[in-house]
Amino acid sequence: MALAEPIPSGDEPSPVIADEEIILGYPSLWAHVIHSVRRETLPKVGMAIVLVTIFLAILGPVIAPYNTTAATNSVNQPPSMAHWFGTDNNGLDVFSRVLAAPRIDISTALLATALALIAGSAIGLFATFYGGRLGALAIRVTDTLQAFPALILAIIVVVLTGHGLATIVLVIAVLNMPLYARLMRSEVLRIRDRAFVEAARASGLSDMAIAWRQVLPNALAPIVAQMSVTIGWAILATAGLSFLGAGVPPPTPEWGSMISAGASEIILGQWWPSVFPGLAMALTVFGFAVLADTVQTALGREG
Amino acid sequence: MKRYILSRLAQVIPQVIVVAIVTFVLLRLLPANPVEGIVGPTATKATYDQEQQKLGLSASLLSQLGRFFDEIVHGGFGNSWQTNVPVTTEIGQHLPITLQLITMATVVALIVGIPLGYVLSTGRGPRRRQHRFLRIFSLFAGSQPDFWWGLVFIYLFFFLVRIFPAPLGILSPAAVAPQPVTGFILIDSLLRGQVGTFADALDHFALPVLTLAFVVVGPIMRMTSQGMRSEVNADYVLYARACGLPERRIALSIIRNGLAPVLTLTGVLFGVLLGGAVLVETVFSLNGLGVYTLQSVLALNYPSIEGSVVVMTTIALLVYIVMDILHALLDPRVRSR
Repeated sequence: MALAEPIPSGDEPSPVIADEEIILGYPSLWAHVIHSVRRETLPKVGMAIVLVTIFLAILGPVIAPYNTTAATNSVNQPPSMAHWFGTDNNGLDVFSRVLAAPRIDISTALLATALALIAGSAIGLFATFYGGRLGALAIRVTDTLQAFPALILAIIVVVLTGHGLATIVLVIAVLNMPLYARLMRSEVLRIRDRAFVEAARASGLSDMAIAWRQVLPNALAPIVAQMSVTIGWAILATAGLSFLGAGVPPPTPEWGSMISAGASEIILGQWWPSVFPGLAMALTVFGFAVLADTVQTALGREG
Repeated sequence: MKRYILSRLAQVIPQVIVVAIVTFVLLRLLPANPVEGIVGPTATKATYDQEQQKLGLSASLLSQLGRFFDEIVHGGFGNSWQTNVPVTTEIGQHLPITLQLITMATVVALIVGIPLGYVLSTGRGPRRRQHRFLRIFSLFAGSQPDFWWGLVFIYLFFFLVRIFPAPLGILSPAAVAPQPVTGFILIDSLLRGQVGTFADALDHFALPVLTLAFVVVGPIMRMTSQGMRSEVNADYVLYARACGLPERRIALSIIRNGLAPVLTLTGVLFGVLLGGAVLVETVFSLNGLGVYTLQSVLALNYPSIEGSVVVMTTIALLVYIVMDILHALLDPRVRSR
């Protein structure tokens, strides 16, 4: 299903890589990724989609040709030269709203992913370096989070706190945190006993410095792949919540609530208010999935 | 093996307890006021207090939690605040729809996804174009908004070409619902010999099942392909070949071992669908557990929310265990651990 939780990738066996590559942080990996984006069609398409959405998140509301929130009288107009994607049941221009929506959807997803990454990695690093009971407990707590039905938990929290955008960001971040904790943990375990880490420790580097300078750069590639997956999931979750009336309330331009607004009329044949925002979202999520796959492929974890 | 199963089952209990506590406490700590929702904003202080007392919300958090667990031990979650019917009864009415929906979707996704995943793992070289298409499809179908695809399918297969019935529930208005035996309409209608009703329900389930299957087929394809490819290069394959074993025997063990991770994934996807089905249920007006939970949340009906979350978590965890047991049966390496 769409809101498929990102499959934990932390426990997958990592490819064997020569030590000197590790010290430099997978140099061949990033070269591989850049090469793919330049030469292969699919990664190029994925990258283009991602760049366009980020551009729209910044400038979408500005370049939208019509007002995106003020209702007009031209209700439910099919696509035409004046309204490329038609108008919805409030007479709003669907094209303008599709362009403006990434402001909410993409920034929510990016922010939530960043938070999940920071908090999750911190827990993972802490739990593994300082081991002991507290560390094991931290991992256990984050694991239990994964037993929850994610979407339902998100609905509960968002509805009970009054449909705030900040809550949506926080919930998505908390739900994805365990993945980064596990990822960091497995990366630390993977390189902890390598010679170069021992050397760093012998030369007096603190655990924090080792985590920052040795572990993080080495874990960067799987983290980037995981982030791309999380962003896609976060977009779907934000839209899903709004679709159910448990997220961003209308008339704020947002893909999920736009699809919801057109949903009741689709049986009557008015497809445009729902189809266009959904198409934009489907493409965006696909773009991020391709980006994740490009990095995964370079890592040798091709699926 | 028996020991393994028992120890896995024993792990479920603390997890469910933690989930129950977290849900219970979360509902009471978040700034929502169910009492006001029930008595209305104009109620007097006395009515308000009386209602709060009745719902048990005036007691301390700890004693509320104690009562909650007392009810669970006695096999329930209390009565719904909206209907005053036991929550377990209501869940019993809504759960079968969701279970039928996601079980069929998972089965369809496996039937389609495993062969496609196999082709994806082998289709290199001469079948390059086919392989490319499948790869793009597996990426695409793994990350899609199911509720939107549901609407698109409704437009295509109900409005444009009328192959499937209107997306309004699981039976046509004219169909007669079977007397409940198991609560699962597809089973009950057959048990009661109502073949027409069975066909009608199946017809109504078809489009939502296809929608869900479409979005989970991607991960299944990718996991199958990954599993196959890692097994093809395993040492035991080389050894078997060196011993002169027939290729068919070798292929059989590759498939057996390569499919093991797909089982685990299937369990995870089933759990995800259980909590995520609410979107597709909403699109197709199916009155399943997801829709029931959503309505309970919107109405701040705490006992129903708690019951639904606990039931969903328990089912998901049990499915994981079943998949792990199947995994252990397939793969002796897991069994010996």
